[in-house]
Amino acid sequence: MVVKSEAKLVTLKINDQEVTVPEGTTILQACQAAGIEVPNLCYQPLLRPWGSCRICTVEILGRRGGLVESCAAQVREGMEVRTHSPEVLKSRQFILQMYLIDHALDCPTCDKSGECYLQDNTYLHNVHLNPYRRPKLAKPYTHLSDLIDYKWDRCIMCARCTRVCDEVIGVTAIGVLNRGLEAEIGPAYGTDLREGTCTSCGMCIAVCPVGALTDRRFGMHPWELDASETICGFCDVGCTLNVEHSRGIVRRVTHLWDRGVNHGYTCERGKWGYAQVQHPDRLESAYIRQGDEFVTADLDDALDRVAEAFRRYQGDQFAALASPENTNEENYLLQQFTRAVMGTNNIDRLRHKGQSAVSQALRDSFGRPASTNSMQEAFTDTQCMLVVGPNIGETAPVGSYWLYWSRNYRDAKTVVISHDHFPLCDRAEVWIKPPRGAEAKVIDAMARIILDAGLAHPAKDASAGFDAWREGLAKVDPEQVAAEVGIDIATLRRAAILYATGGVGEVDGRDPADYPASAIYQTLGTDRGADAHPAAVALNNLALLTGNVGRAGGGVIAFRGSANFQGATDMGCEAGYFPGYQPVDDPEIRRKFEAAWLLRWNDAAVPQNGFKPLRELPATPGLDLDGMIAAIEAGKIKAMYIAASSHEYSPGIDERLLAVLPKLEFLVVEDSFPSDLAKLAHVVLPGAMFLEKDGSYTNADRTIQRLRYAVAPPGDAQPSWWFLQEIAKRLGYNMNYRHPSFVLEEIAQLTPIYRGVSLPRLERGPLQWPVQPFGAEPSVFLELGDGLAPEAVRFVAD
Amino acid sequence: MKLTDRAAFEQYVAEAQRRWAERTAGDRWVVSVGISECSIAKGARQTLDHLRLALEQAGIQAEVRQVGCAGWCWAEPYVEVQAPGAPPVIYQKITTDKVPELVDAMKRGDVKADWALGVRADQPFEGVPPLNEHPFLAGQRRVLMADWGIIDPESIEDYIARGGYQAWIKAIFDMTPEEVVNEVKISNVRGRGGAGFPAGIKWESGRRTQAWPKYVIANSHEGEPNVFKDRRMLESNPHLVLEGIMIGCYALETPHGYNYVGGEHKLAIERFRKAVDQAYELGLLGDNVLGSGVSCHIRVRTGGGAYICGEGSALMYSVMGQRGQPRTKPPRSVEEGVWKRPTVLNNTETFANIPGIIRNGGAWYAAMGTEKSTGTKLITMQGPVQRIGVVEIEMGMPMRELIFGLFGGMREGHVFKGVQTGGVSAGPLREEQLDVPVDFDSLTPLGGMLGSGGFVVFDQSVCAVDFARYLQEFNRYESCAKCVPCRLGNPALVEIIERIRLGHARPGDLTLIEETSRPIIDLSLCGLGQVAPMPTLGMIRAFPEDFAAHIDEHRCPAGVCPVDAAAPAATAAGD
Repeated sequence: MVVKSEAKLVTLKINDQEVTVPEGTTILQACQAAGIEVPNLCYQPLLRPWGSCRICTVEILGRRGGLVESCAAQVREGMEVRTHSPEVLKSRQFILQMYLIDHALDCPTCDKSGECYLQDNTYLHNVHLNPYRRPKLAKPYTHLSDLIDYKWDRCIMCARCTRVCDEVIGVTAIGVLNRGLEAEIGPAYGTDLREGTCTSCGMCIAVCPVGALTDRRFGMHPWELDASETICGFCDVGCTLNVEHSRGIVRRVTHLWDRGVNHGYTCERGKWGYAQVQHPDRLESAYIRQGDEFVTADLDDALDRVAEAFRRYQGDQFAALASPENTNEENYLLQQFTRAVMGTNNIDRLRHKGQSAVSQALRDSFGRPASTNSMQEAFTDTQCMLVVGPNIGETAPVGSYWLYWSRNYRDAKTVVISHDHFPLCDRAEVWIKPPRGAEAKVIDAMARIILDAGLAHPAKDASAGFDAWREGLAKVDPEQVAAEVGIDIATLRRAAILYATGGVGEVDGRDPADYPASAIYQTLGTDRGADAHPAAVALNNLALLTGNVGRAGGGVIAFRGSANFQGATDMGCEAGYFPGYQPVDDPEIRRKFEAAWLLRWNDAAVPQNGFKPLRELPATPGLDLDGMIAAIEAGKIKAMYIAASSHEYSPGIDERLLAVLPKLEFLVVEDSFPSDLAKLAHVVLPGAMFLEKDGSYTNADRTIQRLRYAVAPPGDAQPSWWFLQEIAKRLGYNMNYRHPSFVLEEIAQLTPIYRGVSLPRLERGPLQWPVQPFGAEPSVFLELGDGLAPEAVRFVAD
Repeated sequence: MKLTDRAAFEQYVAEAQRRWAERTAGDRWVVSVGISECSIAKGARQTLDHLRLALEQAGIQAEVRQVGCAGWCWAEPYVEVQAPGAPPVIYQKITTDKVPELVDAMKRGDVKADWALGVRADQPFEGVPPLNEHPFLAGQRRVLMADWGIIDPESIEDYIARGGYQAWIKAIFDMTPEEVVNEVKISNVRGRGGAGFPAGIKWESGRRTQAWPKYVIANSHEGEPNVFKDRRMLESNPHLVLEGIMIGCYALETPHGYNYVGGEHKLAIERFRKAVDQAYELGLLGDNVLGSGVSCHIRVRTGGGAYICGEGSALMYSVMGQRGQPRTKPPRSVEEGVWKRPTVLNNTETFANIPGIIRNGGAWYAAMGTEKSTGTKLITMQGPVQRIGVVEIEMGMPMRELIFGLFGGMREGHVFKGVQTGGVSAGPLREEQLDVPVDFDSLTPLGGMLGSGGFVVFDQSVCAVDFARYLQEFNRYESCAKCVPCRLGNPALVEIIERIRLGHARPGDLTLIEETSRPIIDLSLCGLGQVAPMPTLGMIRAFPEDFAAHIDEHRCPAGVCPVDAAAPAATAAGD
């Protein structure tokens, strides 16, 4: 993340080394910037300085000097700091001696041993004699929940856990109880954490510098583990996980602070979701249906069978559905396979109604089915956040953390429109609880209020459809809407004004364009049954109306549930588009792809059962998911390849699809669990899950990130890109990508919005599309004219 | 009745004064009983009930009223009787058993001089000496306490009749906020909570901060042992504090004021809440007060009883409904306090000083006390002295005069040993140090502290080691558990003192106490942690002989510590 700073610079001396940092920096941060290590225990990135451990004490020389806590004390011009003077070291030793009076010192059996801050510092500061020694006080383990244990004798009461729980996670499930030496960490009234607001995100364990809060599923020493940094595959926030594994088994997930879109934080799925990856029910071999039964098959046999069958369905009798949880590379290969090998544009994503609706709404309004802005702007520009849809704390948990953070640390205002009740509702300035499906009405009423208050200022060059839309809005009566959904009109008005004024909350006569930015965070797309289109479109209109599109800190950020839903869409898993939203019916573009793809045909391949190498790509858009369902019903589509990646947190599959699939003559399902879908297949291929593959994901705010192979897939399971290559090879089409990085290279060449992306470049950190060339200022939001075509941006009357 | 403009207020004042004059004209029976928490404990409520009944039975048509505490806790319950044609006489220790006799005497016209504390007159009356000549009162300068025991604390009319809310009216109608702050600066009134930071300067920096809304908070938490001035203040004259907070709000140009009262001060909370309600009813609080365009709203918050919640930033968290723990500075409270907005926090007593300063001018106030510590100070005294209670003295009175004059010296059979100063935040003074003037700066070089003005006299039956352990344990149990030096350092100190107390001291334990105290003082996060080892250090410095007797001779000179006389002679530390 690039932080631009216009703050005054201050020069100080740390251990005689001159350091220049912006004003307002703490001494600790200045030391870190200068590469001087200052020990700290209660300091936690993203949380405000707490100042309880006093081990980060440094000495300031001079008249106004003395010992200060460097985590909170700010730099002053000309200050001279000593980080390791005798006084300082003596103080640190004292602190450590104090800790060690009652600290259990059960390091040999402690999970944290080896990465324990207290252990490290005790060693570092040479504390071995303790004049305060006495028989230790001890208390038994407390089982806070089935996942979290607390051991008082190890606790140093730094309150990192309770602060993170309160200020970032927003649930305040645990707190410091009692005073003095009797203080301990626990939930209110000693209840089980699962009974309260706890979301089991495990962040309390993650931030614990010692072994006081421990993971009940973990029982190893850190030095026995290997670590792989990868991206979480359970939702489209796209968190960076540090997956620690040994002997091919994931043992735990830890946190790389300040890394990735999640800055190291995770939710329950990120922290403990690896259990899905090594679930005993995982598919470990291929299965072939024989009558009503499945028999285990050799992978080669199964693939032969698939290739043989596919030969009979080249053309529009074939269709494929891509998994929105597979990597970009795999999705790219599947659409390439469908188009260049099977000769049809019948490709779509395996999605449900909510996802389709939101994707469509974004495309209708902005010309691109993508979020216009980035979550990271909650740290910098967003002053008001309109949160709409099902509980964001469950659907995009880490995204919700930034809302709490922004609220706590930047005084950003929050407006929630949700049928669900979750902690953010109670902390928001306004919470509107409309009946399910009535969100659109409420949002339109807000738009009407904003219009009436004279706060509308749509961008001049991007306001197509404005007049028509405004006419439609004329019949919306806010008072009536308020009465219908059972809220106070004043509440509705306040929500609208807060949003339109970027959290200022009152119309103070300034030019509407001068109010701070407001962002929309919506999770409508995670509601699998709902028709979210009207509400999603209404939100887009609202953002356009208030000039929040194409603006830092504004825009619409839509979470759609599946980890790579955005990536699958970008990769052309859509009936009408090649990767990067290049229309299939454009001959120019088609020629580009033909040149890239059709040369892979093995000309020696023998045409068989009507199957033959293609000489050109299909020119007409194919069928989307709805079209496919109808076509299967009508018997027009006879064979399908469905990449699915089911797991406990899967967003779910359209019921209508499940109902028609038995009509197919031949269905191949690649899946990781014996799901409902897999049970309908003729051949089931065992798919690898996200921890078992290399590649890239694109998250809800268009951030492309690097996925790394952490553990081997179970049994015969293989990643999708491997299956597709094998099938294609058997059909006479040579893909020959040795690794997903080669696929990504091809994507980067053929797809303008991904131009310049490569796995090596992603190693340096995430990139957001449209990707800027090396060295250029990265842009985190879509600007009008750059990323957003003004002519494609329009008000949509739904 | 809601007053809508200044004229209406003046009219109300005139009416209130007329009624007050009628009451004190001396043509009727007026019987007042002091009701405060200390007198309730001694049965004042019962005395009041019995008096009502007895007077009725005796056929005396008297106005029976309750008033607040008057500072003389040793004389509770007290009754003030104003007979027709006679000056008011104050009787001390009127428990229920004495009520019939008192009423009987009233009926007979007997003044009952032997029970009387004094008479509110300049001349003796029938053998009763003037109250102001009583040694307890003679040395006092009652400014804040002027109306204690005279007005009914639950009556806004009484307060207004005695000149109340004049300062508020003067401030909002005749003065700009800058002028108010200026007067406070001229008065040089220093914070009465203990630190002694000049209130005017704090207000000024609060005004300078550019963020709105701002908040004003009165700290009536008073959580430490040995001090009970603020709660008596709120019990006896809540309107005075309220008026002070209101003027503070005006000076900061904010309508938001809080009073944070310790949860255990039940009566104080009750009476202050009532005062706020009355001020709202009368239109002195609320939006657009008396048509002046000034708005002021005061809310009362109560604590849960943690000592730490008296610390500024912890108090603010408590006001916001969070766990009360201090936080690191910067930002200071005047920049980012409650609800992350500029907040000016002052002690109850500081606010109680404000109306007087506004009414009479800062120079009048600055003329009292010493040059650096202006004004008067409420002092509470406990221990085996003749008279326990609250007094108000001009700053700079010698400690000896305070203890042996106002408070009457030691009770019979008690020999003075020392006086603990500064609550649990400083050390004691020995007899030879008693000539030190009581003000903010003079006590500190001697290891003492004015603090909030709570002193404890102790006699030869108190062991310095035992006392040190008590004070240190208080700090240990009341540590908020945030920062390490205080949370873990205090138990370590208690451990060592306990060892000494039991006769199991190790050589070097006194040095170890010093070495432990140093980092606690240097490294603690908040003011309370930074002074936590002070009482122990003070005890060691003032009474080294007590410690030596425990360590070297396994003997407690005062005979209170359970010393293990057979403990092995101190050898090298256990390990």
